[in-house]
Amino acid sequence: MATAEYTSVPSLTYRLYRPFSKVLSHIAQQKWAFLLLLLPPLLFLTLFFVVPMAMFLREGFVAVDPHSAARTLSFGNYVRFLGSPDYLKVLWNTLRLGVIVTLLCLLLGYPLAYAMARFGPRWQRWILVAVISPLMVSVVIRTFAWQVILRNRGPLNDFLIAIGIVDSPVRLLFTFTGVVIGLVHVFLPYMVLPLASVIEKIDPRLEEAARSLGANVFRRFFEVVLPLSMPGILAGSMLVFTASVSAYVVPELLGGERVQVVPTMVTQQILILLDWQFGAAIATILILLTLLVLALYRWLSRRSFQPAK
Amino acid sequence: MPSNMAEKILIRGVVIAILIFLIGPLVIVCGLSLSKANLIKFPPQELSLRWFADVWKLDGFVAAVVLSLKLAALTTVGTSVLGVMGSLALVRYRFAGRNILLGVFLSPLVLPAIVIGIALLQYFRTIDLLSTFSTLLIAHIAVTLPFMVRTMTASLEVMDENLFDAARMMGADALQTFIYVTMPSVRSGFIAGALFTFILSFDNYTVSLFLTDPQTETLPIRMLKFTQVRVDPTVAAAATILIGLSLLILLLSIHLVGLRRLGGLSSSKA
Amino acid sequence: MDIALEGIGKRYGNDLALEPLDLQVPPGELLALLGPSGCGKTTLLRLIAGLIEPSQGKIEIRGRDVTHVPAHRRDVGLVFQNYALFPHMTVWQNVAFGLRMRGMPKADIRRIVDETLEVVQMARLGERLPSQLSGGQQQRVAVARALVLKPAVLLLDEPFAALDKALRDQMQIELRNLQRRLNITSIFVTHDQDEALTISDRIAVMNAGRIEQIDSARGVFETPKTEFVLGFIGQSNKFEGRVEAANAHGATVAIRDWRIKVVNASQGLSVGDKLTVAVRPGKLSLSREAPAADQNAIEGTIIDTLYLGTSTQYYVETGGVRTEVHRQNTDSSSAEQNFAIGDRVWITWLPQSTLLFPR
Repeated sequence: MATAEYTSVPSLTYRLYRPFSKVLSHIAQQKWAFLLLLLPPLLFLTLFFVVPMAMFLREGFVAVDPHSAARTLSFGNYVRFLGSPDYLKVLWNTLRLGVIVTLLCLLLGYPLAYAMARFGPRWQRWILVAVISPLMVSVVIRTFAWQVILRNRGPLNDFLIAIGIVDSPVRLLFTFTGVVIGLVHVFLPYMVLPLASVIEKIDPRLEEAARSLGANVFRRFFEVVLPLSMPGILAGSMLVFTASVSAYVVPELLGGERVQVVPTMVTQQILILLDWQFGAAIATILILLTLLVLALYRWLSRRSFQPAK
Repeated sequence: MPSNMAEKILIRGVVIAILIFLIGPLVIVCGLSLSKANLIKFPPQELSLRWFADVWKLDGFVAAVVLSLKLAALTTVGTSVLGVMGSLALVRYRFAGRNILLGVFLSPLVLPAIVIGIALLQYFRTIDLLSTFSTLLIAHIAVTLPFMVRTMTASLEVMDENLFDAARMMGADALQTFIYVTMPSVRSGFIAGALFTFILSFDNYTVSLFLTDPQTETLPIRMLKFTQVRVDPTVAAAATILIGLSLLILLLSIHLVGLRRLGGLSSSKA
Repeated sequence: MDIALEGIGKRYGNDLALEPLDLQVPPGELLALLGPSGCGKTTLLRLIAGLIEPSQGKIEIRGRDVTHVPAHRRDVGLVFQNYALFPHMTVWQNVAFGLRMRGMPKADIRRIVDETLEVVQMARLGERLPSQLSGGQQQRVAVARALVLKPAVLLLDEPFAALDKALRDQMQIELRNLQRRLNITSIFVTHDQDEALTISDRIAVMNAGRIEQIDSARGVFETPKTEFVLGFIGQSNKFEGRVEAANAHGATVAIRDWRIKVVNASQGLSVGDKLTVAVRPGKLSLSREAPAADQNAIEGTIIDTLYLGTSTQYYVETGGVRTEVHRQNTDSSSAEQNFAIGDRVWITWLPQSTLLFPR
């Protein structure tokens, strides 16, 4: 062995460590060694996530006889939800919310992302700080802030009246609009960050080349920057949409009973009406919706990377 | 892209307006806490710090802070250990079903927090073996684990594979390689993951909502109850303190990990 | 022999990366494993290093069977293609790593690392991080890290690939000098034939998992054993020929209308055999007059010339085949001997320079 050429005696700590090291090396050479690393987290997740989720979602397929408490397999809950116009309205409301919030986040987020990528390090730094710091504050506090702001006697209404846009306070709290505002505020960073990451990678010389060829601002944007930033747009939109339709806190606190979305409905059914089975079915529908959007995203991103025909 | 002065000013103005939209609400909360009058009004007429002294008297506030800190610390430890273990197994070894397992680890990210919370409520009611704190801890680890796994697998995958062979040739065993080569190489990713886990746990509301009981309340739950019961500057002061705490953590994160990395941007500009 | 491989082969599933081969490397030799991508040279190197297990065969290092011995106990040092220096450790810490992992006391580590850094002339840069070093410096640190454990064998995987041209030449010589000074048996992998020809004692030319020829630089250049080696090392002109006459002293091969005499490898040739006849461009001479009878000669017209300073390359159309001739531009070339496009010339060469390959 090489270090036989060296005659020094190994240090004490090493001599104590040596037997352990030998055992470790012996184990590490086994084919099943990776299981020692994989199983603890996997078991944890299975026991405390997969199993609970499966148990809960299973409830959606169960009908409980009100008298005998007998449980039978049934699609009744789904029929009840999908067959009722009122319930479908809630679903529609939720989807509408998701789309509007996503579009607004895109509209507001794109300039931020572009500025972050193109305006230089000073702008990037400050925009990053402004975008990341809300993420570190609890959603409760952020929603509390909007509760204060959107009140009839709150700063926003005071401001609107002061500059003469309206004569009397606009009701924003406990409205769909209020919920939209709150969600846009919460999820805007999720749009900006992926988008900025993508825009940054677009070679700025492409825009310069377009300008030197005579394209004006709009043409440069729509024909160069926008198409190339599509992966970022898709990623951000997917994140914001799935988060919006799954959101609970903001709709509950800023929308109250007047704004019904699927997550608040699930909570209502389960915690107030104690209809676990129905709640579970609705939750499953929500999950399926989320997975559908995810699949759509995957399909779209694969397509947008195909070479243009 | 903007080529003349007008365009430049316009777009910069738009950007600033949107930034005000982002930061404004937080500033307003801080402003509320500084009002001398016992009113929730912005902008405050007269300034005073008196409400900050009363924060500690808020019912259950201190207990909730302590609980949330404890919970966040333990969650970070638990998630770090499990996350690093899982990521190492997924990235460094080839075995059947790797990709599927990665999907399983990341699945909590996709599912609505509300559903996870309710499912865990039902589950722990059925088992009924654990203390409330334990169930909270388990739930927090479960929802933060995917973030850690995602961050760690990304960091591990960009590591130069030859480093492991080099360490092998030098006689380092598995543990030595882990301590002296692997962990230092993924240091930024790990710290980012750990900080993120801490914040996620400390700020978590939706999942915790279903698992707390009156004796074991996390801070966000308590804060929400405050905002529903009494809307006075004391609550705003408590919120301001928490905002300040978040900013401190942000500064720490920027120092340890770097601002760009926090924002998910690649560490070297293209 | 410092290294002895017997029947070493490696397969991945159905893919045969290395056919069973033998290799012997005497002490102090600098051997090059040369070949195109995918020929198995890196696989072979990693087998010797111990990072891969062979599918069959035996590896001995200084007489000790190390076939199933883990890499760090084989007495070898490996320099990786991109050096694989630990980015978060200083130069000094990188080199000290192997000693630390074996529990050597700090004082001894300090002394040995300082010595090793002296050997590669990196003593003053011990506190730098790898990112603060140039390519050549990184390579020196990688070599130091491999040498610090005083291995019997030094292995290098394309050590100069990441360097630019000027630096490459310098580092090649440096490695050569270091290797000679320490007299350490070394094997390095490369795809660059100039590199192999310049510094190695012997070259093993590899192709598709086989060693086609192991020989000195002169050997693979002057007497390539296979057409692959011929093509991979240096340039050549190839013609289709038929054996017209053969005896113990030599043979005559017909290339179209010309008769070519061969003196080497004439054993085992029979009349009528079809062959590939090859001659290196540097072995060819041009003249305007018909050659003497004992010289091989073909006739043609110059269709292009390329002046390269030290030499000139002539492209001659010889009955449908383009023949390349390289001629040194010495002052003794008389004005009459500067050829131009359109000149009718004779290309001549010595029988000993003719190379034959079966078809």
